[in-house]
Amino acid sequence: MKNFAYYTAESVPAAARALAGMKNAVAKGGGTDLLALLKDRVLEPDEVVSLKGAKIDAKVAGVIAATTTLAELAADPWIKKHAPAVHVAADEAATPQIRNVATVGGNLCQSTRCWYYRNKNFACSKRGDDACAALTARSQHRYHAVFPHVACASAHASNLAPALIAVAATVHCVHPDGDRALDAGLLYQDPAKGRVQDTILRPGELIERITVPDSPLARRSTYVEFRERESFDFSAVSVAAAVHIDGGKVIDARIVLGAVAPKPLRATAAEQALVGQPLNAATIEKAAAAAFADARPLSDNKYKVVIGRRLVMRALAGLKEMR
Amino acid sequence: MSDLKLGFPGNEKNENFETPDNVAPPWDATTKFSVMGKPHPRLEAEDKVTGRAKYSYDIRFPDLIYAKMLRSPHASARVKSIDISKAKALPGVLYSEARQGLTVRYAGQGVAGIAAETEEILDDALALIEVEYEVLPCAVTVEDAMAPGAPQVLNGPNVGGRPGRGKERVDAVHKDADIVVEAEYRTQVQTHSCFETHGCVCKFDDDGSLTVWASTQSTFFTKTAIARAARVRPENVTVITEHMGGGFGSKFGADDWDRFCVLAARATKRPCRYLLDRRAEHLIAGNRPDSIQKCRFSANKNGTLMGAWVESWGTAGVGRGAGVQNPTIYRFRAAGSEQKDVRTHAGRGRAFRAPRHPQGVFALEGMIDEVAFALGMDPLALRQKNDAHPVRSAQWPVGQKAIGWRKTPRGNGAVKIGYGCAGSRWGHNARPGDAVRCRIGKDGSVLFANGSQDLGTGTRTLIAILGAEELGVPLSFVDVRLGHTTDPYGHASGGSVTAPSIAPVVKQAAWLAKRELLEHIAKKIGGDPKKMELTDGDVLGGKKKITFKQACALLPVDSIDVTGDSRNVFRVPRFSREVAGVQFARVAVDTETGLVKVQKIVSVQDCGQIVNELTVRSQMLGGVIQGLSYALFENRLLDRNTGDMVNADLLNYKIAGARDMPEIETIPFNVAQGGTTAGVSSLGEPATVPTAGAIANAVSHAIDARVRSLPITPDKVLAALGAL
Amino acid sequence: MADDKIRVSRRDILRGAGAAAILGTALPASAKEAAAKAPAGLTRHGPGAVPVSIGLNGKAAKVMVEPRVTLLDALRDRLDLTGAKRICDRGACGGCTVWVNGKTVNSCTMLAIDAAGADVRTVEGLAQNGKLHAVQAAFVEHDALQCGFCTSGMVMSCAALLKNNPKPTLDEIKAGIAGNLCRCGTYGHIFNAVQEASR
Repeated sequence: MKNFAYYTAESVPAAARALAGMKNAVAKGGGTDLLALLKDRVLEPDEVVSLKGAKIDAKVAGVIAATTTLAELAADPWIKKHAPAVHVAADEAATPQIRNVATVGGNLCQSTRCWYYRNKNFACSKRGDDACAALTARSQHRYHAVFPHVACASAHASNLAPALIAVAATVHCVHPDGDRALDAGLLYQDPAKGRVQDTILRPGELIERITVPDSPLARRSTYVEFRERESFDFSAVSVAAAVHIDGGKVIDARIVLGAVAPKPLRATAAEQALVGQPLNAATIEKAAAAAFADARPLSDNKYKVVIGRRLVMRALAGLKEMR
Repeated sequence: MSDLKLGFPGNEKNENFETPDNVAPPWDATTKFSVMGKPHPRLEAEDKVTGRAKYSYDIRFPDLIYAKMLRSPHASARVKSIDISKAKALPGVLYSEARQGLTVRYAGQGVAGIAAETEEILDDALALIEVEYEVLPCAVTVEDAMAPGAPQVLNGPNVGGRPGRGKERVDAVHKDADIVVEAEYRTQVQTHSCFETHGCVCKFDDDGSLTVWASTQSTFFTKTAIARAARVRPENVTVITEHMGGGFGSKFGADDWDRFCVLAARATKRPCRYLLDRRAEHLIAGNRPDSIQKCRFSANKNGTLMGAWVESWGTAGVGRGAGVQNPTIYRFRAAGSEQKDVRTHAGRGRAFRAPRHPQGVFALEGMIDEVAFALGMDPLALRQKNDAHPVRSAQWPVGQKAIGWRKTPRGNGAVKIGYGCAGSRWGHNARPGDAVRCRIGKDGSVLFANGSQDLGTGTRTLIAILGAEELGVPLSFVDVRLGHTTDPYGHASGGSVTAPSIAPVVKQAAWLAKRELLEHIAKKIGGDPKKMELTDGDVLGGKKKITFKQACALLPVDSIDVTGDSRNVFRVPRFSREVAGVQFARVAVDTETGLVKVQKIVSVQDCGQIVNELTVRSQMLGGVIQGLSYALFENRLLDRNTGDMVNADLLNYKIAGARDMPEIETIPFNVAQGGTTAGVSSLGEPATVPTAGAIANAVSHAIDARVRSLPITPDKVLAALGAL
Repeated sequence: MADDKIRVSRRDILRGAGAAAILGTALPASAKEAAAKAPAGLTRHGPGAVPVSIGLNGKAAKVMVEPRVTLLDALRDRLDLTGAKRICDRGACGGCTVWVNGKTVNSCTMLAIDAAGADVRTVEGLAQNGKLHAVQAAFVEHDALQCGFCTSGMVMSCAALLKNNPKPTLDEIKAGIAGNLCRCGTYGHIFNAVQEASR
């Protein structure tokens, strides 16, 4: 790990202002992902700005401070009742030790687990190389994207992001030039050469809070993930789903896939397959097929498509039984 | 002439045996033990649960410095130039080495080295080294290395190995058989993943003598190797291994990095530490070679196994040693194999807990199941029909009952429940050469000392129990010192030799010390020393009864100090030549996702004469868990383009965790084995041999389709089900 | 002879603790120069070594560390508490588990500076008044360890589990230690030990 100057911030706006003026700085939440990237020298910042002690006003139910730990989020009774998908995603994340330290903001901004990205011995377009070491026939890509970008096969690692997108949470961002509030689904963008971050956050822009709405959609939400090892493992596929059913028909639906693309993926075709229909075995199967209709798996990870379809079906079947 | 009763209840045999005068009388099936065979917490347990135990990684000095090497990212390359000047200019960098012109044969090979004041400076210095490589073509898989025009890994052909013998005979038997089954099985490369990585701390004293705290399975091999590498006379080197954090076959001597550590310590006149980081541990510190096993087995309709021929390929990277123990265990009319050992551009394989066995047994037991299904026979019945070993024959029904064996799988809906079993064989690897010192003090203290090491198997406690048993004193009276090469010689802990080899020597040392004590005491209290005995801490048979402590206080000398050795203690008849074991598995397979969840494992293991029931169960448990981890998760993944390892961590190199644990029932099978005066047997390795085979068979049973490749990951299950 | 040698070495090792700590306080702190330049609302630490004060096993402790130094390295290499182990060094194995303000953390994945002002408890500080914690005693009794290298972290996770959930089910025990790996394969005996300690 390269050494750096370390800053503690009183508030997120103060940290954002400072970061906007720094040339080679990173923000740190709990640091559980960041420290690994620093140790592997994937990132070599001169300055690290810690948000750990930053004061954030988030006393209202449904408002989550970015510095909330995953353990705190998992223990939040309001979230458990009003956004079960978010509760389960937080509770299933990583390990007790990591949940005690890792923050919601950090979870949303974490880097991909792509082993080519994290090993500087390999070429990586995110790190600025022309090639992507994952995108050859002989690469090892069993955990990579089944909806790969043309220049990057990384899979997005956050399990919280699909859940927050599914419940239509709002992300409140702070920037010296003006704050903004985004639907969580708009937080991410496609990869580009030389850009390590997956979010649309500008330099000096930080997530301060996330708001989970009190809505029929969020209340009827669920999160399921598939991991090879039940003990600590990142999911090979995850699915967050939420439906609003009224009069026996789905009037709103969100289905979000995790770990299958460089960013969390809204399965809009699957959502459309449900809207206006009753939630039953036939519509569930149709939605699951639609969710992965456009998948282009690599040679090692076709299994993720099969399992992903199954997870969509299980998630929706679970929602059918809810209430 | 006295009788020796060997074996186990239901299968005992008497052997004639006369104990020589100078030898401790052997234990057998009739011996009534006071300390042996019961569950005893290990002596160092409290040190380990409080963090007090000092491993080599924990040895510290005020002026300790830190060493590390820069490692090649390429599997095959020539080092054109190394510029180490910026690193050397960094304040706090104390020593360096640059291997100009080196030919790199595997990713992770050391290219340059640094020693520095702190780990942080070391990290900065390594990042400042500039290396220019000429990258050469590499072959990182068996297929690549065997392809026409493949790059030559080292001098000589890539493909070596043992030529097969007796194929004609097997072919002839196949021709006569009713059915012939053919299949190809594959296993992966598994890394040892020792939690304490390889390496050492070394320190020169002013007189030039060298002390090395090494994480090793052989203090004495390490001593010799370090002495050679550092050009120090062996008598001036002391190796200390008080506690060590796992070896599993990969830590038998000094390595390249140990040599660098010693040179840095000598050059700087400072104690130096070099323990590998996790990534290097995966890349260069050993692995279990992979295998491709083409099997052709035959049988008759009545369930008689006829022929077995196995052709195998595997790679131990730039090393040799790939091969499989297959066929074995069952009686065939004719059996044999041809095994090819293929060099690739990858880190060298090393012995790994039962080398060749788990991979061979996985294929063998899969084939036995395939034969059974082809015959329409219960696979367990087929095994029992063709297994003549007396111990395993008794074990199969025990395991069958404990698992609740079923010929037909269970489960409705997506999750199917299946059952599988597998057997193992190992040798009673008692080896002469150990010596043990026993010192009884006037203060009543008892110390046994040997220079070998405790890997976590419980050797220290085993010595104490054996010593207490033979001496006739409570276990709490006995202390043990292990892991200092200033004490008598002890073997490398490999091949499961430690317990069977040292047990009769401990017994002998205790017996000699006891005889000497009783002779002294007889003179003091009166009586015939030959008729006196020490039992449960009391001296009996003399003119009056006194306690052990009182007896010690009467000693005319400060201490009794004797050394037991292995002469004469190995000439004892033995019950069988083989350590036998069977395991059964019950698994649940989600046929929609391919996820395998092991529900229960039963391990019935021949443990010879059990010394410590608690650590015996620990060894069995550990064997099963490592086997499960091998069966379902572990897999070294090399990038097939560059040969660098992509999962050189403990997240993507997956070892089984707490939530992956099934119910594990350990059934130690006590067998009075003889063979030595103690009758103690090998356990560490056989306990892990059958697990993967049993799990794989259970998976195939559950889904009615065979997965012939380890690890059994969801993608392979889905592929076997035709879902991909 | 051999006995003498060990004793000498042990003394040397102990001496190391004091010397390192003294050496630490003597290092030049760059905190002063740095604090001046910090942007509004921020406090700057480093990049040179900065003093970090923590409550360590019930006592005050202070180390001088660069901001990049992890809590684990501070404990092991500066404070001579080698119970916590560096195994995976990436937060995946739990071998370095300690408690920070009563909660388990992977000390390899936390900066020492982030523990400033916190109450840190390591495995060395778990036994109270010379009496083993119930989990430690049960680990001994049930042989819930083999090589012992994962044991420090396991013990800390198990003790934390029982603090939050005094009567855990088997599944809760497994989930509670899902962040701790063991290479020797002792899990079964660990489950037994935790169940015993919860009685």
